[in-house]
Amino acid sequence: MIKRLTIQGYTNSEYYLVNVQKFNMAPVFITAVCPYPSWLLMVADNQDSITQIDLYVFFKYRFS
Amino acid sequence: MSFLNIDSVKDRTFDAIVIGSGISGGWAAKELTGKGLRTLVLERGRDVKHITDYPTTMMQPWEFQHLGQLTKEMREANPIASRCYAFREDATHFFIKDNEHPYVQEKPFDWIRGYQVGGKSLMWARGTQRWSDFDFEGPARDGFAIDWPIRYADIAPWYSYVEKFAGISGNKDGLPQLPDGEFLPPHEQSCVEKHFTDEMAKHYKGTRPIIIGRCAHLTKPQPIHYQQGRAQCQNRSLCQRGCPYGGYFSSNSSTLPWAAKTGKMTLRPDSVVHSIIFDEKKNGLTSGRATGVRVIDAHTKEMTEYYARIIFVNAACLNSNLILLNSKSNRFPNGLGNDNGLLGKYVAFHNFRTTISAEHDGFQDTTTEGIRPNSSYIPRFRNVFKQETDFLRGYAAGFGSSRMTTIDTSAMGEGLKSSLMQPKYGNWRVSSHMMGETIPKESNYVTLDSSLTDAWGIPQLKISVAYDDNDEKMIRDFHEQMSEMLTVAGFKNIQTHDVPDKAPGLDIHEMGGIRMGKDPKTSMLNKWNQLHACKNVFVTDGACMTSTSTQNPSLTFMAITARAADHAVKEMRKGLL
Repeated sequence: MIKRLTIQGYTNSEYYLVNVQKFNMAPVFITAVCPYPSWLLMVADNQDSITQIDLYVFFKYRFS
Repeated sequence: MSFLNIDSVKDRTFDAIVIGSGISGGWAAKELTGKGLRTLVLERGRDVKHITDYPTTMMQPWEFQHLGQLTKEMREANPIASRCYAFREDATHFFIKDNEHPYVQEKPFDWIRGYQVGGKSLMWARGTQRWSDFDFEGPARDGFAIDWPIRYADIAPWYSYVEKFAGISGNKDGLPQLPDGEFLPPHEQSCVEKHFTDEMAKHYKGTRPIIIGRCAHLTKPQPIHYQQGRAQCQNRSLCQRGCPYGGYFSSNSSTLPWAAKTGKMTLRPDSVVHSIIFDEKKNGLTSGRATGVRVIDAHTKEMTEYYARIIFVNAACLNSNLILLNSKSNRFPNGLGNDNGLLGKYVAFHNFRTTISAEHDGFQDTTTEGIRPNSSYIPRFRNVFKQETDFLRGYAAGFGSSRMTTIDTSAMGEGLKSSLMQPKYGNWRVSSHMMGETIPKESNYVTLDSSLTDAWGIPQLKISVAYDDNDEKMIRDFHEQMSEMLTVAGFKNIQTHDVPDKAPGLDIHEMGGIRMGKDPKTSMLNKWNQLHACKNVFVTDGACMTSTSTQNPSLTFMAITARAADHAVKEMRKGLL
């Protein structure tokens, strides 16, 4: 139970939601289907310091 | 000193009184004030001003003391309210606390209430589907309850009227069982929802359509919405906190401010309506009519009478029943208008007891972005055009999908941290909840408890409402049909979820008890929502419903209210009310 609450606390923290989940309170838009290239998944899996979501967000905003 | 009393009565006299400020009460206030009537709006709860009284609306998730969760103490203190999906740390202030407003459960029933200005319109689920003649003709066709006194053609123009003002997003799908409306642009379905839609169209040859839900969100505001001070929905999906943008329809953001702008509305929060006053004199202008209401101040508990020519009862279904049951007189010893003994009977609801979930291992190169405050919708497909099962009526269903990140939490220490920092996308997951039509029955009723009262001395409501065999058959059919449909579309890990001892009520769609009908012997209200036996009292919330359909009912409450208000004012101008 302590482990569960610790994880819950951490994954609801500002640090985690902002930096990992890229939480956006008012996204304004909704894109119901957006591509998630498979090569990006493979790259992310090999990068210790960069999460999949970081890469995805980078990709999305850098090239869109 | 007598002139002082005359002034006092004058100050407490209005053209119209509206009891309740939720979805239908807000509409009654808007329509009656818009037509020039000085209108008193009574709300038993506290005042809630749009934007300024939404204390959590701009709070980030990490700013909540318990990170959005309910504490054990909160759950234990509110066993009924905490079963509602929206009763979370960010919105508990919009729900009543169980111990403050007791009621008697002759059979288990979760009665979810929001006592404040705006009522439950602040935290409703915003689904807004029109009803069709498959619903209005249903009781007559299938031989249950009584025939509705209206048909779709009677109410269609009023659907259009309220849709334009409230702002309803949706797609024109051309379905006879789910008529199209005046829609703002629809939300988009996800690729998995589109896949399910396409597979169903192919396999069932168009007989089981899947559509995007129709909902009261401003996807593209029109001038009428900007005039209300509302703006485009920001897709926050934090609606239960109250929306500072007015992105979804509520009484607080829309109808009540509109009514206030006329200068004709007097809003009185903290006003618990005790009963409606009936004039028993045999002669006189008001004989045989209701003359006003008795109101108890929520804080001082002092009783005051207010008077008006017409009264709209919009206290939400079960409380409207309670008020009429408690409005006793020599003429109506069993409750106002209750000549036939049917007041409080034939209560029905929507069967939300069961859900189904599944996964799809395709579409691995896609996900969603942003938040959609809506889901796809499966309109009723059972027993629509003909009777095809061993149960009456049918069900609609919500259908949503998401591709969530998953985290492996099996490791400890550095391994766990690494896993947390690199969440991975799992399969697409879908879930669907049933919205079943229940059959109104005399054995499903509410009445007043003979001994227990609430904090204001008003008898507690005794609720005796339960599922029946028809509902059980419908649940089994939902499991079978949805399992088949998901299998056909390639979904895996299909799981049904049902809690047989779960009490009804969490649909928050209770209806009936003061039903409309053609015959005063078998119904309480006529086709204009007037009490047969007391024509200047109108009931236009869920209590007036003759049957329940499968569609979310709030849009129909709005349309019925606007229609009844229009009729009331016309009758007043003719001198008939």
